[in-house]
Amino acid sequence: MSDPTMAAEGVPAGQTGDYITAAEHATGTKEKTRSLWSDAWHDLTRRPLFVISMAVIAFLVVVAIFPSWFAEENPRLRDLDRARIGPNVPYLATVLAIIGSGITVIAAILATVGKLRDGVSRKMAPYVAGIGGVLLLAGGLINSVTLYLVIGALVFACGVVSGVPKVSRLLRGNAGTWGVVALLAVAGGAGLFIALDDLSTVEVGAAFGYDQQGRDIYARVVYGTRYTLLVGFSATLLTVLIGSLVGILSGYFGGWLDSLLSRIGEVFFGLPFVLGAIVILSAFRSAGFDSAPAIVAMVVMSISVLSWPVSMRIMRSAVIAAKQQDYVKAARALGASSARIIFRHLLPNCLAPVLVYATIALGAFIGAEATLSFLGIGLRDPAVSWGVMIADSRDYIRASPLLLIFPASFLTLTVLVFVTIGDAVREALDPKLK
Amino acid sequence: MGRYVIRRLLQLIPVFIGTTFLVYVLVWALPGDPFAGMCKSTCPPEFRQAMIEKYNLDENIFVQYFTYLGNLLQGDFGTTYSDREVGELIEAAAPVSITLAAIAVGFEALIGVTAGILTGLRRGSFIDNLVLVSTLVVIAFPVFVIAFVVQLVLGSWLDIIDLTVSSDPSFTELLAPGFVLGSLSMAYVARLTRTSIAENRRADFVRTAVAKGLPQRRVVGVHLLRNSMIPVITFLGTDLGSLMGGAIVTEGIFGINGVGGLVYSSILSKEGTVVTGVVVLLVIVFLITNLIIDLLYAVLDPRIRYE
Repeated sequence: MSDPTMAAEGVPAGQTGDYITAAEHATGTKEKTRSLWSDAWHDLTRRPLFVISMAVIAFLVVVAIFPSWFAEENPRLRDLDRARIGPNVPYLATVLAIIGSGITVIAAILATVGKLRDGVSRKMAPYVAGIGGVLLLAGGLINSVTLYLVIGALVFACGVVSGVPKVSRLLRGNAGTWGVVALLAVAGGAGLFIALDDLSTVEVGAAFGYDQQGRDIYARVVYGTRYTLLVGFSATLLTVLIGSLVGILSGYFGGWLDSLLSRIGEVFFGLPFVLGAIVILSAFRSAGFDSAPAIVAMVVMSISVLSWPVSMRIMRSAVIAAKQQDYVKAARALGASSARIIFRHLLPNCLAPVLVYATIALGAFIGAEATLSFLGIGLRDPAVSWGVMIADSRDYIRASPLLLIFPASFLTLTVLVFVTIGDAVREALDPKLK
Repeated sequence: MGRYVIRRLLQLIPVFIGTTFLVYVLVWALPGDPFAGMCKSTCPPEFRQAMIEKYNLDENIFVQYFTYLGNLLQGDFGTTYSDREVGELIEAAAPVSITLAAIAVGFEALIGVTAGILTGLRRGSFIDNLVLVSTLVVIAFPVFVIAFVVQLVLGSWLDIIDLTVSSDPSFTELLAPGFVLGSLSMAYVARLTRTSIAENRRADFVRTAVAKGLPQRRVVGVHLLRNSMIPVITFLGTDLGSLMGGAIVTEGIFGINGVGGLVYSSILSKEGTVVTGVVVLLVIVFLITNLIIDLLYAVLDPRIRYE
């Protein structure tokens, strides 16, 4: 696994950077040779946007598994008396300020760690401070709280000053950087103190208001995370499994099997995605699959059935290229069986492009689930998903656009995070872009 | 060239039959009553019998499918349950959808390619980062959210466009829906062009052109651009085919009576003949555009020859 990538590795960053060529000096350092994967991982953990996106996903996964930790209200409880009541602005503003201040404190900690030990945390601190500042500003704007606005602007300015190279050069030496760290810590602490104090004076609950049937939008957003992520992850897994299996078989064995499998792939590829999904879903719905798990399974199935040819093509071309390599010929000369060659030699070496596709597809599939739910043929009550919420709001968007904006912004944020990760993984794994 | 085209056309046949058969089975052969909900309580047996005979439902699925295909090849798309010609329905809906898809692809080509060229030539600059981030954001927005946002901002707040288009929409009315429809692919086109340009900028033929002393405009406009456009044109062509049928969401939100709306309402009302008819047409469009794109390669890249 490690051998074929040796030549491309070059010098591990930061360690033996003094040498121009690594080969003749490699014995001097005890650095382990790194495979493509550990190389990519090393590269990825150095990208602030990747680390932040992973943190957001970890948080979303926790929300999806334990929604009751984050929302006490029942997302299905209807009460028409409170239909389309707007968001509880003072509470929302205070909560935003608390979260923003907390993130600012984290930024201060990251900056301190980054100052003491050089690492990704130093690069992350400006981004994290920026996010904290924006949240504080948002909290201040919606409820016109001057204190939040001032602290938010300060924190955001700290983020910009330490993040933009041209400006951060003005902070000469240690004093300036420590000054920014201290400023962040003080601002975050003060914001936390003020906002927590405000929390005792505002009425708690219904941060996002109620929808047209009087259900708590915040609770629905929280509970919707589960189905949204469930569909995204399972559809990606299924797509990659089917696609890789078929792709490996047709790439490795070639001949009539390749022609047959490729034609079958083209049949499914020729169906327009949305149209095909609607036909499949409505056909199976009229066939009587109507319970919530069955609907989820059908949505996942229809997404995967229409998407697997893409991952099959990627896998197939990777296998065809790898099949000619010396290590495969050597394995075959040693008498390895087809199964061994496929699983021990081809699969690990051809996985990278499929993995890149998978990370990007994950975001796209979450959007696809929302589109199908929006059309009324994907998920539906009692399953709560962001797509279902957006579909419910469509007749009311002129009167109360907030019904659309809350679920849509969470949906967009989630897709954005996944696409960002996909982009980073692609750059880390694609040798052409290095 | 001629032999290549013929071979490709022959290869299309199994794919065409496979796709349309798949859709036919999904529409007609799955368990469930295709005539449920057509009559008030239960349908009288004579009516059911007439319907079953009209749509050959007593035959096995292969006979049904090939009867349908035979009629189709003679230009007969069949009739709906209420005896309207499916061909006429499609004919009425197609022009709007084609205009819409063309506008969308036009936006994609114009904005996407321009942004891609600008960023591909100046990698790592501020505008490069700006375009990269904004394409990420656009990709993250599902199309219906973009549609609602455009409707809300341009329609409700700024009052520039009407919320929905008229029953026989003009070209200008379709501009906003077309922009929405093309927005996602626009981001992809920008990224694709950027990668392609950045890769080809280091190619030998570009270095030669620069060494010959050609002006920058000619190096980029003729040598670089023409060779970098192949993946972009592939994408645009495939997109044109898929947008014609994939406009279901956009057409629904803006109230456009196009092919997408037709097929969506037919699926809901279980009008099997309309669904299969539209899908057959879309598959044909998709396959033919792919073929034309393949042939265009030879025009763009003289190294590619079809024997």
